[in-house]
Amino acid sequence: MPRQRFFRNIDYSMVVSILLLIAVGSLAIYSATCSSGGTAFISRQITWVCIGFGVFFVMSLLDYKAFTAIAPVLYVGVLLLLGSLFIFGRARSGSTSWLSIGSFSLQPSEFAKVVLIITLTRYLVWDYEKRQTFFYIVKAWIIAGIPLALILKQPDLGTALVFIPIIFGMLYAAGARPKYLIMLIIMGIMAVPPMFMFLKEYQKARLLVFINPNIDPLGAGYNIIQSKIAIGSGGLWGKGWLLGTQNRLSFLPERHTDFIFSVIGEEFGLLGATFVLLLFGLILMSCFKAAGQARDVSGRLLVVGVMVYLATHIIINVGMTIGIMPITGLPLPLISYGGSSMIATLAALGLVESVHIRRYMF
Amino acid sequence: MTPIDLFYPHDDQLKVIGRLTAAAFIVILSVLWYIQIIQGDSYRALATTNRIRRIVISAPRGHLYDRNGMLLVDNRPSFDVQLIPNEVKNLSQTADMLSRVLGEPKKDIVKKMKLEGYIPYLPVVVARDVGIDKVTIIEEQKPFIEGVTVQVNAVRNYIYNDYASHLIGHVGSISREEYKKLKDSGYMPQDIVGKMGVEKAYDAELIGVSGGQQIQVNNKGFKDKTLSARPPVKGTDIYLTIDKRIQDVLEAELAGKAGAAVAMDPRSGKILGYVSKPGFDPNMFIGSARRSEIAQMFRDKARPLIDRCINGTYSPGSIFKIIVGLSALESGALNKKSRLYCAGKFYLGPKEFKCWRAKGHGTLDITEGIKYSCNVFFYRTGVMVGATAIAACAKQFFMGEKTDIDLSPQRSGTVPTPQWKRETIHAPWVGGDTVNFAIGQGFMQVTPIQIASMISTVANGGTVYKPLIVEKMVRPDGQEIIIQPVVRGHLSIQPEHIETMRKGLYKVVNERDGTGGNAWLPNVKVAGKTGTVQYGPVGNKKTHAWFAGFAPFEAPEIGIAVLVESAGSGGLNSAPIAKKAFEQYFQIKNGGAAAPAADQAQANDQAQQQQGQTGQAAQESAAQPPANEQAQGAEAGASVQDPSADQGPEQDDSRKEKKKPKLFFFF
Repeated sequence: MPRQRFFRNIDYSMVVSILLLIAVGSLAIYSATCSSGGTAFISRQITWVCIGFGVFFVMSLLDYKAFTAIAPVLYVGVLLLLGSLFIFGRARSGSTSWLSIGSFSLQPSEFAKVVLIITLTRYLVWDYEKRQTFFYIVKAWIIAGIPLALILKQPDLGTALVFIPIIFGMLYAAGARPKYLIMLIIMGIMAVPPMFMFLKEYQKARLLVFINPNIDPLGAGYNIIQSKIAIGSGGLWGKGWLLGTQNRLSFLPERHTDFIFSVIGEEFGLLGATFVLLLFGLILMSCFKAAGQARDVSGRLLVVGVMVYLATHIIINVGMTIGIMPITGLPLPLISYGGSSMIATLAALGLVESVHIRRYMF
Repeated sequence: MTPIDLFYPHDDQLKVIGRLTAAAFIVILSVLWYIQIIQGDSYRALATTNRIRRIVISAPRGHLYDRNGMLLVDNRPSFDVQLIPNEVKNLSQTADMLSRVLGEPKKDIVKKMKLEGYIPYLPVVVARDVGIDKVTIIEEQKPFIEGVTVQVNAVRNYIYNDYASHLIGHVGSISREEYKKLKDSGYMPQDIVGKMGVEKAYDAELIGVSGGQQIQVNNKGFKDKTLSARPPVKGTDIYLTIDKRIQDVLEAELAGKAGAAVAMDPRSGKILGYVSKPGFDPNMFIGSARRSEIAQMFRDKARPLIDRCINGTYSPGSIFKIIVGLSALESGALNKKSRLYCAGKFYLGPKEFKCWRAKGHGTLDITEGIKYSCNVFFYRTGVMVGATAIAACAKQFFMGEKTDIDLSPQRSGTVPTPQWKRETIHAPWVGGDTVNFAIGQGFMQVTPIQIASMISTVANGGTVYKPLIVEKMVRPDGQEIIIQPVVRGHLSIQPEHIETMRKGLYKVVNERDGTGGNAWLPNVKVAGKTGTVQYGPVGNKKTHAWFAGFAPFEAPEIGIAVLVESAGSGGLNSAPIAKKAFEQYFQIKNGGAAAPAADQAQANDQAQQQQGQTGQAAQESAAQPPANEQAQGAEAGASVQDPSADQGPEQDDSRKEKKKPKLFFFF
């Protein structure tokens, strides 16, 4: 593709929103970690941002058809990565989700989400004529089910929870019959109570604490209570950068990763939090635009997949910090500290941009 | 109407997805507005003027009782000095002050703060069980040292001090290594955990479930209000299999000596008495005041912390003749009528091996060989049977293997075979090795618990039981868990051969000139075997004294192994200890001893032991000859381990890593 077309067609509002979110995130990460780690965390995060942007631009330059073409390879690769966790994986707070490579650790389930989107797109387009049948849905679930089972085995409940909306969202956008989808969702909800028995103790604790934080005031309940105190005390204007007492006095748990939004709420107030949500809204809107204008079904499905993926992350993560969602350990895209999440998110957005740039090419 | 409707009104699917997303965003924004604007002031008040503190209320550990419900270990209150790292303004100054008041090195205090400092607002225990005088000083200074508090906790109280100390064990602060290993099972950095004995093996049961409180404190460190709380749940009470009255006798008999005694019920493997001496006072590990005493104990050459019952290895000496005899009967080398001649000496090629009685025992059958503990009889038998067959028989009793008792660290001992010698010592097995092996000297090594298990197995006719230390557990909700006997295996030896051996053991105690006459009782038929073991370098004249026996002969209810280090002969020095325990056992059985509840406070009831010994005089007039058996095997002493010199505690990973239902934390 000629370079001019790239710069003419790229969605600048999305790129600017991404940059602004990363900037706000970096400020929050620094505030959360400067007392214990100095600039160590923030400089590592910036490295990942640079790598992530490289991936973003490469992905948007390449035709997204190239990715759906190699979907089987990506799929098998991710299965191998997920499988290797059971051999080489490193355990953190009860689950084995990290692979150590030298001094870095990789979280394969973050990349599994992007690969799931690409693989599902490939299948849904390939079998497009049968989209009205029930087996269309069943086969899509089988494809997604294998990595999902491996992720549940880790166990990484958060990632598994993100898989479900992605699968349903893409099936729906592909034109599967809503009647079947709603039926499946109802069946799924009914299967939740028996499934509860298979959860690990700590996961049960997290879910139960979500219902009533007071049952475990020292453990999981502590996180919710402290997070709400942090956000609530931020008020309209916030306490100011580096001035959040909840944050700086270490009341907030996992404040640079899962609870980064609490830091933003405390230090930048309702205005800052709304600003962040607005930027996310802009990015999602760009996705809608790209999906609507996509030149073909696979482009449209790819974008819908990414959109649902981001929206789910945002809703679950922010919902968790304000006590309306269970604590599942999902990062806030583009903001939470962590390389795997940052690079995977930017790669996914690169896909969207690739679709968007090629909207006039037929 | 979402923005997407404006862009692409024809695309139904995108419209639905867009509306759902927009709805979620609107909910989030509303909740944010509610928390930050409507409730903002109250949250701000919580965050700025108050401090929330998490307090762990540790559960009292379960009590320990003997089998009859006599209380052995409970809890008492103790004052702990705590510190909240986040609130300490000047770490060095605070550590200085604490070090002055508590008399502990400053660097220890700083180290403790660093072990736990990463958990926000979780208090770190700096000193446990602090005297009331020091508590007063700290309370007075409290306004000047922020972050320091004093808390009352329940701590372990070992009522009888140095009593069954290796069985009961002791507790201590969780170490950094233990915490790393156990934190996934719900343990916390400030936990007190079992370090030894039952306290360690049953830690997951005893420790209970910590309670928690989230309280709000003002800037002086005083509590304003409790935000939420959960009460602790006391640990499970454990009833040991030991009978305090039998334990009392064994404790008293072994006091001041070095050695071990294990009494076991041959019908179930339940341990009735368990003594290893010298012992220690487990209370020493409570609090921080007795640090120097603990250090001294670790240096003590007598090694009081070693559990000699399971972690001390000794040559079995003549006790081993039981196994040699059984292997001879089973292999057919001897039958119960076979007679062998002892002239006081035995020649293997040019080498001379002596019997302990220089003028010899004359012609003996196997029961008499056991009765007199005739060395020559067993030299000959051993050579006939061969080392491999003897070793195989010993292995049927699980010798050379750790028992499956719930205690640790344990040693396995050694059952030597020609192959073992080739592989371990890189030397061929020679005839002299077999001769020494036949009288339990040389390479053969056992622990007292193995001998107790062996004699109980012979007593009950061939069933090997797991040595049980816990009778039952009683949960705080009243639920009882009764521990059932576990069979490890059965001897593949014909019952009639075991019966022949039992007859021999009967003669040892009950016939004139038997070596075990000192274990004789008037009303109960006792059977047993003595052993006198050379140890240390060649020429060492000191001997360890063994006795292993059971009673009553017809239907045994109690089996005992006694070992006294460097005490002389088994017949003179160990048999009387076993006798006292037998006497006590049957006195209890016949209702002669005091009811258990009567002597709650009294550690020993010596008086009772003096009663009912009416048969004593009669027995003494029977003038049992002093048993003076000395195995004079030429190579006997050379490789015998000195247990006091080589009893390094073994690696021990046997803590039961059972998941215990504790507070769930995630950081």
